[in-house]
Amino acid sequence: MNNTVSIIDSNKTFTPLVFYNDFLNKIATFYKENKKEEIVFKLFEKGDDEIYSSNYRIDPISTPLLLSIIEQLSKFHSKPLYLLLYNNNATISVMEFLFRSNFFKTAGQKNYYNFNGNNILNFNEEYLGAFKGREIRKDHIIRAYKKSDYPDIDFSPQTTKAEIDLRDTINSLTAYSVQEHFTELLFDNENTLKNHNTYIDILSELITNGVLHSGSTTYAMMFVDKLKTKFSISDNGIGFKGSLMSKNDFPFYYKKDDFRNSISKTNYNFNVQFIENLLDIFETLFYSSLKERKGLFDLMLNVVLNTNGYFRLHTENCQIIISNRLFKYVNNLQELREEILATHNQFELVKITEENHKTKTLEVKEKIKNEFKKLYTNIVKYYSEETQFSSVRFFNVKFKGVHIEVEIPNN
Amino acid sequence: MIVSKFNTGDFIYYDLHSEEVITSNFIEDVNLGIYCDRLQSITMERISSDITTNGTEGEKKIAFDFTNIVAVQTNINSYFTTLKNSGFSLVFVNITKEIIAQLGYDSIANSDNINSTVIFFDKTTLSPLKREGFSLFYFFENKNDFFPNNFKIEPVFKEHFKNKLKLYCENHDKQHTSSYVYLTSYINIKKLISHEKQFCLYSIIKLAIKALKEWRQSAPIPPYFPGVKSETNAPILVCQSLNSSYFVSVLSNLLKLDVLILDKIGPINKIYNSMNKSIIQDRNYIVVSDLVCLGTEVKIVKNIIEFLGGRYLGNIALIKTETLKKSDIIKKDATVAVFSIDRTNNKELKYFITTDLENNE
Repeated sequence: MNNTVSIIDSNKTFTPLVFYNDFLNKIATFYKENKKEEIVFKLFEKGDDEIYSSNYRIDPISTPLLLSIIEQLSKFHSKPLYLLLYNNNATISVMEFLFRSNFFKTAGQKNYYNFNGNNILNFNEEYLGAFKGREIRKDHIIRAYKKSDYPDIDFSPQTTKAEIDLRDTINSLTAYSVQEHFTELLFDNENTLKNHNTYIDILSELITNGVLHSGSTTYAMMFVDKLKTKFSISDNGIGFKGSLMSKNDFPFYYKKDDFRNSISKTNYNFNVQFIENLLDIFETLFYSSLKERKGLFDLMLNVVLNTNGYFRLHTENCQIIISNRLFKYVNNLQELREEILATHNQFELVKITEENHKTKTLEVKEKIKNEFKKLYTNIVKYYSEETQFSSVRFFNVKFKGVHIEVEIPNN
Repeated sequence: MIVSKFNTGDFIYYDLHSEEVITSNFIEDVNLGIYCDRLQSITMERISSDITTNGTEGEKKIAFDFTNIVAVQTNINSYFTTLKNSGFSLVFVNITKEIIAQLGYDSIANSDNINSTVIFFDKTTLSPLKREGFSLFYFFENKNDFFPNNFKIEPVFKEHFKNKLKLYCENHDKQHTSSYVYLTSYINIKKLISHEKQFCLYSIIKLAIKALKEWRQSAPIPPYFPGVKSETNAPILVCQSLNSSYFVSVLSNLLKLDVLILDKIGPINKIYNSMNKSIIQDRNYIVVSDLVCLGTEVKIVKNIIEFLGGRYLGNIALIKTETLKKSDIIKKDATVAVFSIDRTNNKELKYFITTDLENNE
C-alpha cells in the first residue's frame, strides 16, 4: 500500500511544529505522487511492527490542527477518510489519550447525546479498547464549534449593524460554552485564575472568528500541565485575506491594502508568496488595531503584555510568533491602541466633534502604521539572519485557515 | 422575558446579574447557575429591546445594578452609549473600576459618584474578594437629581412582593393543615407560581443568593472545588412537598446542588420506612419549603434527617411567617426567606393566626 501517510512517527513527539514542518510535507508529497488516489492515514508510523523499539507521543494541542487538515481533505474527497489504527504496547498510551480526549468521537460519524461526530474519519472501532485505564482530566478534551451548533441563528446579515449584532450574539454564546468548557482549567493556577475573565474573552473571540468566518468546524483544545497552560484553536476557512477581501466598505480611517501599500518593495532572499502571507497577517492586525471595537489585535497584546505568554498565529505558509522578545514594539502599540480607543469612545459619547475625531484618529493611525512598519522590518530582517529563533516562520506547504496557539507560563 | 424590572416611581431599575442568570440558565441552557458573573451582550440586547418595545412608562431615568457582575463582554458599551445618546440618564450601581475602564467610561466624571469597595465571593477560596469600585456611578455629567444616595432595592422588592401576594391571598377560615391553629387566609402559591412566573424566578434567584451567602463557607457550596462533589460534602436540597418541588428544581439548577425528594411530609403526612435508603450519613441537608407558617413540617423533616444520621443545615423558603419577635428567634432555627409576613404587613394581607382560646384582653 503506497497510499498511506503516517501521522505520528516513532520517537518524535507530534507537536504543532512537527505538524507544519513534516506532516504537511508528507501530505504534499503524497498528492504529488498520487494524483487520483484517496489518502489513507496510518496513525502510527510502524504500526504493529517494531513494537518494542518504538515510542509514540503527541502534544495534546496539535490535535485541533490534525482534525482541521483531516476535515479539509475529507471535504476535498467528499467522504470520510480512512484511518488505520493499531493497538499494541507501543501505541496504547497515545490511543488511550486520543480516545479519552474525544478525538475519535469528534472525528467519527456517530451521533451521541448532544454531540454529533463531524464524520471526517472512518476507522475500525474495534481497536478502541483494552486500555490501561488511565484517567485523564475530564476537561482535557477536544472541542468543536460550528455554525450548526446554533440552529436558531441567521448567519447571513444584510447590514453592517446586523453583522455587528450577529457577532455579539455569537460571542455571547461562545463565551458561555467557553466558560462551561474551560473555567476549571483556568482556575487551576494562579496566573490564569487571576486573569480568567481575560482568557474567556480571548477564547470566545477566537472561536467566534472561527465560527463566523471559516464556514467550517473550529477545533479547540486546552491543556494544563505543571509548567504552562496552552491552548490551540484551528479552523480551515477562508483565512484573513478572504475575510478582508470580502469587505467592500471600510470606515474613514482605513482603505483597502493600506498597510501593504505603505511598505516599499524590497527584495528578500525568500519566496514572494511568503511575504504576501506575512503582509496579509499584518494587514489584518493593522486594521484590527484601528477599529472602534476590540478584537484580535487586543487579545494578542493581552497575551503578551499581561500574561507573559506566547502567541503564535499561523495562516497558509506563514506563522508569526509574538512574545516578550518584541516587548518594545508591543508596548508602544498598546499605548497607541489605547489612545485610538479613547478617541473613538469620546466621539461616541459626543465629547468631541466629528471633525476632531477624524483628525485625531488619522494622526494616531499614522503613528500606529509607523510602529507596525518597524515591527515588520524587524521581523523580516531578523528572519533573514537567523531562522531558528525568529518571530516568523515560513513553511513550504500551504495550510489554509487560521491556526492559533497560545502558551502561558503558570507562574 | 425580563424578570428584574422595577419602576420605583423615580426611575426604572434593572438587576443585570439576575438577567444574566436568566439568559444563561433558562434561555440559552448553559447551566452556569447563579455563579455566572459576566455580563454578555445577549442579555443587554434583551434589556435594551425591552426598553424600546415595552417602554419605560415615560421615565427617562434608568438604574442598572451591577452587583455580582465581575466582567463584561468586550464592546458591550455600545448598548449604554446608545441609550445615553437617545436621551436616557443612566446610573450604575455597585460597579467595579475595572468594568468602568473596560467600558471606556473613565473619562466621565460626576461629583456625585460614590467610591466604595465592591465585594464578590471568590469561587475557588469561597472567601470574600474586594475590588475597588463605585456604589454609584453616574453616566452623565450634570448634577444628579433623581437617584437617592442610600437607595436599596430591598424595600422596593418587598413592597412589590406584598402587592403581588395580595392578589393570591384567599379567604380560608379553616384550621391549619399541620398545626392546631386557624388561618384566616390561604396564600395560593400554585397560582403565584403560574401567574407570576417572571417575578417568581426573580425571587428564587434572590433566595439562591441568600442561601449561598448563609452557607457558602460552612456547607460549603462550591461551584468549582478540587475533587468530587460528594467528597467536599456539598449540601443536598430536600424537597418536602409538591409546591416546594418547583423551588427545589430551580434552586438545584441555580446552586448546582443535588436534590432529595421526600414527599408526603405535608400537608398530607405519611412517612414510609424506606427513608433510611435516601438519607446519606454525614451529608449536609438544606430543607426547601414554599411557605413556612409555624414550621411543623420543617421540624418533621429535620427530625427524619437527623435521626438517620444526616446533618441538617437549615431551612429556606420563599415566604416565612414571623410569629415571634425578632429578639426571640434563635438564629439557628430561623428560616432564610425572601419575604416575611410579620406585624408590619399581616393586617394588609389579612393573614391572621387564631385559636379557639380566649384572647388576653
